[in-house]
Amino acid sequence: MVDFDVLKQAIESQGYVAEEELATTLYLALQLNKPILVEGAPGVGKTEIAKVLANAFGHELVRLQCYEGLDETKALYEWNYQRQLIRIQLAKEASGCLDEEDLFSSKYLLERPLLKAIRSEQRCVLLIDEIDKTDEEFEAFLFEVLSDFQVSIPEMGTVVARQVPIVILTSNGERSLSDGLKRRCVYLYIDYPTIDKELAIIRKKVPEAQETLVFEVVRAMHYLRSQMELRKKPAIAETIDWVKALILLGANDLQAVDVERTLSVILKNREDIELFKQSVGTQSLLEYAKQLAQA
Amino acid sequence: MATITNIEQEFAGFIQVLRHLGLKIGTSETIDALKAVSIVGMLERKRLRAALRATLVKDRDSYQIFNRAFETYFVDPETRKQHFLEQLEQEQQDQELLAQVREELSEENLGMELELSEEQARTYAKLSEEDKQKILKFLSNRTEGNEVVSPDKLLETIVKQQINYWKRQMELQAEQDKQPEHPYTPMGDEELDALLDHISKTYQPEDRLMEKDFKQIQEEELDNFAHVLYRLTRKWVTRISRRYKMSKRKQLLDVRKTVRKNIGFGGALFALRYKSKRISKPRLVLLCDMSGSMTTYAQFVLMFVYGLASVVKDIDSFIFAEHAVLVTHLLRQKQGFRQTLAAIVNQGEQVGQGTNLGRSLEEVLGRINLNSETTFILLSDGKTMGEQRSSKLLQELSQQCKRTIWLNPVAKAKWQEIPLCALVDGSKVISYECNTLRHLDIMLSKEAKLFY
Repeated sequence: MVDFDVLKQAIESQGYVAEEELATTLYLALQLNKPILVEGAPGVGKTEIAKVLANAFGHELVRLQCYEGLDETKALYEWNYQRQLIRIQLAKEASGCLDEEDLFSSKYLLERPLLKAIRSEQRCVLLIDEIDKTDEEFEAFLFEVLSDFQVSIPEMGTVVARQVPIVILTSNGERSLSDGLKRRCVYLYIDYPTIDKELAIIRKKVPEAQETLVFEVVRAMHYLRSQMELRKKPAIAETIDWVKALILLGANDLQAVDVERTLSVILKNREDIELFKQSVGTQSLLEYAKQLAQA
Repeated sequence: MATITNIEQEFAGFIQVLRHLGLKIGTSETIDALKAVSIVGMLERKRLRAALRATLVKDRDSYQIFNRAFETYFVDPETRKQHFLEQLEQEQQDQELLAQVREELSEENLGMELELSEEQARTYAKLSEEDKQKILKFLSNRTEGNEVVSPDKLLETIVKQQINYWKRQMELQAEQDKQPEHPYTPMGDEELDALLDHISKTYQPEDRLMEKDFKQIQEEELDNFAHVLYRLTRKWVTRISRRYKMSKRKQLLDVRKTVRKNIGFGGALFALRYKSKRISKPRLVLLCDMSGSMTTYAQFVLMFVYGLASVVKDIDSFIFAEHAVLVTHLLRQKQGFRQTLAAIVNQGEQVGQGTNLGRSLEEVLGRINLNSETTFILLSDGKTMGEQRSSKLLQELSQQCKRTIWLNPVAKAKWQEIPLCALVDGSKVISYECNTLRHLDIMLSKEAKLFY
C-alpha cells in the first residue's frame, strides 16, 4: 500500500505536475485496486500519467494502443495459424500422431498486450490508450479484464492475473463510453491547465527557456483557448512544442515574426489558422501576451 | 456509534441528492465512494470532494453539477436550514398572494363569481396596478340594470383570456431573462427538496452556450454556436461510422472459405480467407419546419440542417411550411455556412408561412423511398393544421423507417397544449424536447446506437 505523500512526490520526481485532486484520484485508484479512466482533450497529459506511474514505481509499461477495428485477436491473444498449419503438414508428412492439445498450447499462442499484462510475473502498468477509438463490442470484451483482472481463453481456460496490474484507460472524448465501462473505473477528467499549472509544467519540461518567453507563451495559449472557438484547441503538448520551437529560432520573448513562422506548431488545421488570422491576428495576440506579462 | 450513523446518513442523503439531480449512481459506485471516503477521511474538504467525485461522477458534464451539489450539501446545519427556511418563506408569500387575489376577486367585491385557476391568479397578482384596475373596472361596468340577461360567464371568459394573454407575455419576457436551471426530480423531503431547488437555481454551467435556448442565441454568438453544433454532430457521426465502416485491419479467419479454397492443394492450407463485416450504411431524411411559428428557431433549424449535412453523406434534407422543399443540392455545394443559409432562405417562399405538416409529409413520401435502413428526423413545434392527417402520416412513416424521431423545440411541459403531440404519443414516433445544445447532445447520445 503506497502512502499519499510518497505517491505525490514520486509523480513529481518524474516531472509531472499533479495538483491535489489528480494525485488523490490516482491514490484512490491504487488503494481501491480499480482501473482509472482518464478523459480529456488531446495533449493534456493523459498518456503521460501511465508513463510517470510506471517510471515512478519501476514497473514495466504495457501499452495497448486502441484503433478503429481493434479486436480480441490484436488486444488479447491470437493463435499462430501459420505455425499450426505447418505443424499439421509436418505431422501429416511424417505420418505422425498429433493431439489437438499440442496445437493449442503456449507455443502457438501469440500473446498480445492484455494477456501479457495479466500473465506478467511482476506488477506492471497496463495502458489502454484512446479507448474511445474502439467500438462497443470491444468495450464489453474489456469488462472481464477490468472487473476481475482475468481473461477467458476457450482453448486454455481462465487466466487470472498473477499480479493485479495498474490499469489506466485514456479517452479523448470523441464518443461517449458505455456505462458498464465507466462503472468499473475511477474517473478523472483532465482539463486544460490553469496559467500557474502551465507555467510550472513548462519550467519543468523546458528548463532552458527564458522566463519572459515562458510567461508570454503561456498567456498567448490561454488567450487562444478562451477567446477562440477552435476546431482543435492547443493543449499543453503544443505549448511545450511551441516553446522548444521558439528556442530553436533563438527567441527570448514572443515576436511577431516568430509567431507567424511557428503558427502551425500550435494550430493544427487550416480552418483554425484562417480563423486566427481573420479574427485575432498576430499583433492582438502579442499585445495580450505582453500586456499581461508586464502586469 | 451515533456519530457513524450520522455520517452514513449524511452520505446516503448526498447520494440521493445527486441521483435526483440526474446523475446515474448505482450500488457499486456508492460502495466505492464509501471505501474512498474511509481512505481519505472527511476532515479535508478538498480531498473529500476529490474522493467522491472520482467514484461517483463518470463524465465531465456532471462535474459542474456535482461541485454545486457538494458545496451546497456539505455545509453547516445552520446554512442548510437557512435554504429550507427561505423556500418555506417563498411558499408562504405565494399563498398569501393567492389569498389576496381571491379576496380581491371574490363575489362579495365583484358582485359576480369569477373562478380563476392558481396559475391565472398568480398572473393576475403580477400585473401592474393599472392593468388590475382595468380588469376591475371592466367587470364593474358589466350590464347594470339588466336583470334578465346575465353576461357573467361571458365576462369571466373574457377576463381569463386577457389574463392568459398577459401570462404569455410575461413568460416570453421571463425566457429572455432566464438563467439556465438544472432540472431535478423532487425527493418528497421538504428540507432536501429546498436544497435541490437551491442547487438548481445557483448552478452556473461553464459552457452557457450548451444550456441556452436556441431562440436566445445572439448574433455575436452564432459563430461559436455553429462550431459547437458541428462538434456535437461530428461526435455522433464518428460513432455511427465506427459501426458501419469495416476497418481493413479487422480480420477474422473464415474457416469454411479457407477449407474450400484449399481443397485444390490436397488439404494443405496455403491460402487463408478472412471474414468481412456486413456494412450497412445509415440513411437520414431530415424534414425541418420553417413556418411562422418556428421563426424564432429559424437560425438553429438551418444550422442543424447544415451541420448534419456536412458530416453525414447519405442524407436528404427538406424544409417545409405549407409545402416541402428539397434543399439537399444546396447543402452539397459546400459554399460555406452563411452563403448556404442565405441560399436556403431564398429558395422558397416557405419561410415564415403557415404550417401544413400533413401535406409536406405526403410530398416527401412521394419524392423519396423510405425503407428499414432509413432514419427520419422531424424538427418542428408540431403547431400544424390537420393534426389528424399529420399524425396518421407520421405513424405510417414510422412503420416504414428504422427510426422516426421528432425534435420539438417547445418545452416538454407544454406539449399537452399541442394536439399533434398527444396524437403521436405512444406510437413508434420518438419525441425529444430540443431547444438547447444540451438537449441535442442527449438525444444524439441516446439515438446514436440505434442508427446501426
